[in-house]
Amino acid sequence: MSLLKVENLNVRFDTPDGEIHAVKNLSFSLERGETLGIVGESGSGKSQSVLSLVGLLAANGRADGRAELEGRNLLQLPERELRKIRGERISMIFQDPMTSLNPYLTIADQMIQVVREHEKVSKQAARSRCRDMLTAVRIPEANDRLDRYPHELSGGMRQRVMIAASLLLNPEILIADEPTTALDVTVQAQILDLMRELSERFETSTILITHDLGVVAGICERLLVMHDGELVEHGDVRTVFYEPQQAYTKALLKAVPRLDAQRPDRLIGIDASGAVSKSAAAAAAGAREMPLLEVDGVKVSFRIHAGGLWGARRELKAVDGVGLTVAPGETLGIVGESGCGKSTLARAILQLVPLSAGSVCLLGQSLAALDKPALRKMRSELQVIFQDPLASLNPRMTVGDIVSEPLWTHQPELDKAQIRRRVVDVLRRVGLAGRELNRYPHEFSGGQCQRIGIARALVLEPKLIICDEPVSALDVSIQAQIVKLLMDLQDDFGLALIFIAHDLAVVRHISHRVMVMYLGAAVEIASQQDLYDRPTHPYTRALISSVPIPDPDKERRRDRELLSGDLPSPMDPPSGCRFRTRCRYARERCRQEQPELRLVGRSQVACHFAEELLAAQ
Amino acid sequence: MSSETVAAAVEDLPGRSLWMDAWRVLKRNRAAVVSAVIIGCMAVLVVIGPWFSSYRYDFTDWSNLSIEPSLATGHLFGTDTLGRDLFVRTLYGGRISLMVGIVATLVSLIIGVSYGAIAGYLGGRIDHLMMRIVDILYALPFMFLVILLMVFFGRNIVLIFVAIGAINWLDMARIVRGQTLSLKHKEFVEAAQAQGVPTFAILRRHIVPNLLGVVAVYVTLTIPQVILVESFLSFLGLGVQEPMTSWGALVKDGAEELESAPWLLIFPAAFLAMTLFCFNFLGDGMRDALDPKDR
Amino acid sequence: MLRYSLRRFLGAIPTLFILIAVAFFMIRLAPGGPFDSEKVLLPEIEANLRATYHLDEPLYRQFARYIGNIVRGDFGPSFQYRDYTVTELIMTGFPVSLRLGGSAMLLALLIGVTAGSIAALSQNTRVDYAVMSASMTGISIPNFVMAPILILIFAVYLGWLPAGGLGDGSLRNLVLPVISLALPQIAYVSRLTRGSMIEVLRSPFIRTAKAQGLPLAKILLRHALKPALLPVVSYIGPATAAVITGSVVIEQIFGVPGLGRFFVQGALNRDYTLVMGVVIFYGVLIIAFNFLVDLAYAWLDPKVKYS
Repeated sequence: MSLLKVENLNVRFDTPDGEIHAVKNLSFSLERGETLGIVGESGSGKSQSVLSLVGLLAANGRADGRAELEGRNLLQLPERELRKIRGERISMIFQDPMTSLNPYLTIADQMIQVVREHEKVSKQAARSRCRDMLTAVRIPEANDRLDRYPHELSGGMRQRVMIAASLLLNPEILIADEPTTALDVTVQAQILDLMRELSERFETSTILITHDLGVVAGICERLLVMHDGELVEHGDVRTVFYEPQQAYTKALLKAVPRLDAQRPDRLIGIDASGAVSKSAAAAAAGAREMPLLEVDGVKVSFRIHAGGLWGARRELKAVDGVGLTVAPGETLGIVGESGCGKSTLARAILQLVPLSAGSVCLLGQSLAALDKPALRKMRSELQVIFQDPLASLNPRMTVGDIVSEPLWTHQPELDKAQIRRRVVDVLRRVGLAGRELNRYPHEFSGGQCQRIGIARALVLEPKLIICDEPVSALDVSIQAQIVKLLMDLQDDFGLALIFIAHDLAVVRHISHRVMVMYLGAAVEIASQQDLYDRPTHPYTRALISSVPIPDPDKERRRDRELLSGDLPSPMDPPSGCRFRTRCRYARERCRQEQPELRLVGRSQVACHFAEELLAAQ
Repeated sequence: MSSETVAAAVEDLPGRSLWMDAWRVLKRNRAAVVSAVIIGCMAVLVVIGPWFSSYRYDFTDWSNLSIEPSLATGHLFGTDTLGRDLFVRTLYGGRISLMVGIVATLVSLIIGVSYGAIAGYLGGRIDHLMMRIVDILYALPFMFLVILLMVFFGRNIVLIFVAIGAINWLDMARIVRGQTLSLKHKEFVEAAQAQGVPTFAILRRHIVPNLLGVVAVYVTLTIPQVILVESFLSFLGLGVQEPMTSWGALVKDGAEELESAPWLLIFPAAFLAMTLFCFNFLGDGMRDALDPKDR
Repeated sequence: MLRYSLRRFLGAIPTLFILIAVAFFMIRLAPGGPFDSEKVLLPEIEANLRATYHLDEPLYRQFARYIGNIVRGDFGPSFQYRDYTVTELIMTGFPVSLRLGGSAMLLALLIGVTAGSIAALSQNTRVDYAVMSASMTGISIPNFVMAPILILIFAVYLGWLPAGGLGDGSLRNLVLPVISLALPQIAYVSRLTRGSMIEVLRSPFIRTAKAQGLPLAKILLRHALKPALLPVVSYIGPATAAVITGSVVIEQIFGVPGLGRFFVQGALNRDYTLVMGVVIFYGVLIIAFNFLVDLAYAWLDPKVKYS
């Protein structure tokens, strides 16, 4: 008999704009000891459906139907009964551990309360239980950590605390709502591994909600696919992945970029008329000419005021000596986890933040050496697209004005009609209708806003566009559209792109070469094939092996190189090689000497032992 | 169809700016709408009202000292101890109070917005220094200094405007600076910088329009504060000089005759309280409309 | 934590200095002198008096001398009440004002926080609207308007409470003045608490606490109260200043012999030293209070305490 049986669950919300039917007739069951995944994009209703099970819907929400746990319908239980179930029988962990823990209470306070609320135990007994649980989630020095505040712990550790707190009362069901979405990839791998181990050890059944198909492939036995409040497909995880029945599922699986997929070969793009694509021509030419962009030894440091005019100043080396080149028509991907400095590097190239050292040369010209008017002219060749689609557009300007602004700045000689024509033209190029000129950004969806941002970057026909996490805030299906758009535009216009992201699969899909950054330095630069199929640097290897692949068989059979420990603080980086604190190959030399980026095989690698690592593969 | 034809033949769809959205939310807030209407009526009343009365504000009606409100004598609100018609005086006082409210708020607006925007946009050391100055000034008991000013330099109405305006600019500066700082780091400003848009154009197109919302809310909430300060000063006998009067001064006079002629207090007090009430409600409504965080 | 306190403390000194300087020079530069209202004095006697009070020295010398004296706690004699020093006058008036102001603040905090919390918990219901309207009224009606009305109702028509004066200092005499002084602050604090509490209750960590099966009462007390009250703690500083300012007028209306009344009289009579003394005294009080509040805030917020 199933542990939990949900039948015809409907969740509705009353809003000033009318009623929203968030979950429509959902039925599913959860067996003992299994891990069930619920996958869907934003608005699919996946979160609301589980929130309704424990009575945590917002005040304007209503749920009806049956959710049977041990013969009782959870949806009709009084609050008193539900409270007993929460934490004891069904536990929940949420997405963002920073805000999900009370910043004003110590870890001990928060955890002990949970125990003592449900069981009659003394404070010491409760405390030692908490301590044991912290050790079980692999937090070192558990006793000491108990007396700390959440902000003193790293993201990964905070999520472990959340997990520990949720398992304190040994619930039968653990509901995890996007538990690793806010975490770095390497930390995600650690947490997922932990969750797998714990669910076995404590015999918990888990409902895992996520939008990441790779995560589901690795850890779930059965899977529900939701779209727009409805259950689209469900079944055994292998069946859903390898033999999807529904159109939506198939489309979703197709849209997800895979780490192990080669970059679709567009270099040899010959279209119907037999003409070679512009980017191919550009790339071919570029191999002979000088590079479009040359960055050399760039360092960016920030002074952090520890407090007031008289406070101490500390230096934060956000970028510590990075060099790269970009040829015309090629895409360079830059990946790295939080704190690696990739966004700061982008801003340094764009001359939005001052460089502490190094140079940036575009088309052979050093940007720092130019005076203001010359720099302004150069900027028309170098444009940018940002991460948050809505925040990158001025909410008080019309779409027409937003896309016209670059023309106003750089081609003031154009008259209104000409500008209008150019704007409509470029809007249509990016897949919009061309009639949006008088509308405002907030009237559009995330994907559409990002297209507008791309239009703005494109209207001057620059040679290079820097894309700073352009698809991270978008749903998977929209993501795929935007990536395809960028690649098409690259072909048509011969654009070079610098594509910065933390999603390694997407980066592989779009880039020719990829650079991996860690704590402000570049650790490896290689072609996408070499980097992903034969990574050399230990960090790259760990990174690649941490990214979940949306393929159940492959994902479960992989060899993982899990990193230990946490990311060091960028304000206080380790001496010598920055990666040494988490590297399994670290030796004495790594502590003393920082490795330089050098050519090893076909890639550039910054590791003292690169040759041995390469040979050992 | 080529882009040209598209551009020429098809009209663009009309847009819905954030101001329009805010307006719609504001209209739904009945308290705010009623308040706005009342304020409007009040403004009209104080300006043209006195023309409809047969009495002047400083005219002494010797035969009718301290009488109750009555339609018969034409003294709608009664008279005070000097026989002056209270209706006209209340309206006249309204002129002064509202004028002080608006002008002093303007003073604090100009100083506060400039100071805050400059500090916020320039950032770094300059911002630090400017904000330290604000911190230091914030801790001063301004009211006392204003009282001293009034006492020692005479009750000049211009001085009143400046002094009261000078009290409130600190809050405005802080708000504007905070908003400017967060705007500066917004991606659309960075995008404009990356395009090479000149600084002045960035301020004009990107920063200022996004400040207006916050400023509008704050102005609406500052006006009642200023009127309150002026009334306070008048109550202490330090406000506008006789025979000019303001609501605060009328309240003061009324308070002295409380037992014998309570209407002298009640009418001006009611007008004062009603005005403050409405401005506060309107300001709250505007804040909800322009800064949508569910209430 | 210690460094933070020290820094805040040092930051307060320029404020104090500016306060003293501004008040000093303003008074000295104002038209009219301390002896104008007196009967006409013989020139020699006037010159004598001026010399005694050092009024003939250049301004900056007078200023330096003044600062020197203040540091020793000597505010000089009152120009108006010649038999008393300013310090003595302050000491007479302050305890009265303290009782008044202190009670008002306490009342404001207790009632304000309670009302605000209740409103937050019953958001958008009738109770909430009632509390919010009441507080809006409290903010919109100045205390010098409220006070006479209260007197009218409770003292004149109902006769329950005395209309003014301190009388024998009993509680009955304090009720009306304290309430008049407290009302705007009650209103402010309740709005502040309500807004802050609503925001805190929407935080993700409250959702976590609910998901862990904690009952509402415990969630409120253990999880929500502290963060919700932080803005109120910050407000205590400006609130004190407002109460002190308000007391000037309230003391006038109710005829209470507190510091505020001395101040107004002194201002009108050009009693330099008294006015200076009161301004500096209140200034120090406000600055000290702000400093303490800053410390309290830093102590309560672990992010500041442990950074």
